[in-house]
Amino acid sequence: MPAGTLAPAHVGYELWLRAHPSELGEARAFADQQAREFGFGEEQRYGLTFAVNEAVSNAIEHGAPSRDGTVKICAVEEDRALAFYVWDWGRFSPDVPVPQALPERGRGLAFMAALVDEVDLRREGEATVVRLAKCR
Amino acid sequence: VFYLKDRPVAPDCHAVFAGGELDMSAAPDLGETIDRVLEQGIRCVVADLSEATFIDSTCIGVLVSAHNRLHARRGSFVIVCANRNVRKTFEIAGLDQMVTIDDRTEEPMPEPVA
Repeated sequence: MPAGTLAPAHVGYELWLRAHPSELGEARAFADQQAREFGFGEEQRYGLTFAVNEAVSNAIEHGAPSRDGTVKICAVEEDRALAFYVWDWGRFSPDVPVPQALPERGRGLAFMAALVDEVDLRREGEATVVRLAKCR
Repeated sequence: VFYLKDRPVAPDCHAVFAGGELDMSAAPDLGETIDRVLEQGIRCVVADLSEATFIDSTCIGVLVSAHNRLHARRGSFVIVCANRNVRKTFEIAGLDQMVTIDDRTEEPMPEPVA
């Protein structure tokens, strides 16, 4: 990955979705299919699918879609890892949990970190990019 | 795609069935269903997720909220779920430390009140 950017070195498979919760199923199906083609088993696929769902949900809820009302997901094979990039054009809310025994909201980023090997979050110009990667 | 239904299963005990993919689009309806049950003053709620294939952090938050409110009224909250992946997300959230999570897949519910 080039220093200072989260943009993938090459473009893999892309999916553009309307920034609406009804599109989340399609995002999960995309993530699951890409993970399946990469050779991941059921548990790894679920973890990646869950993490992508959280990132896209966050983009829909807290971010801002592109001018045409979409968010973008890209799947890229990077060495021995499969990476997903989720773009939106707002400010990602990391949903930092407030200190309490069992928070009712605000665990999205913690979930992503628990279920994939790498989570990166960065501003790219006017966009926010989340990168989620899981190794073989 | 998700579905929700609920019914009384014993005096002062109500079951909420939530199946399918429980994501951000399901969370408001799941929350409203549980709110409606709790507004009846019921102190025992069973969330039957036997048919759930996916749950995200927003729906887990709804379950945490239900647990918190029932705990405050000295009630009980039980989750029925056998799906290994869904149960793992409960563990990551720490929900398994606070709520009884039952993996019964046969006869998970008491018979409805006649």
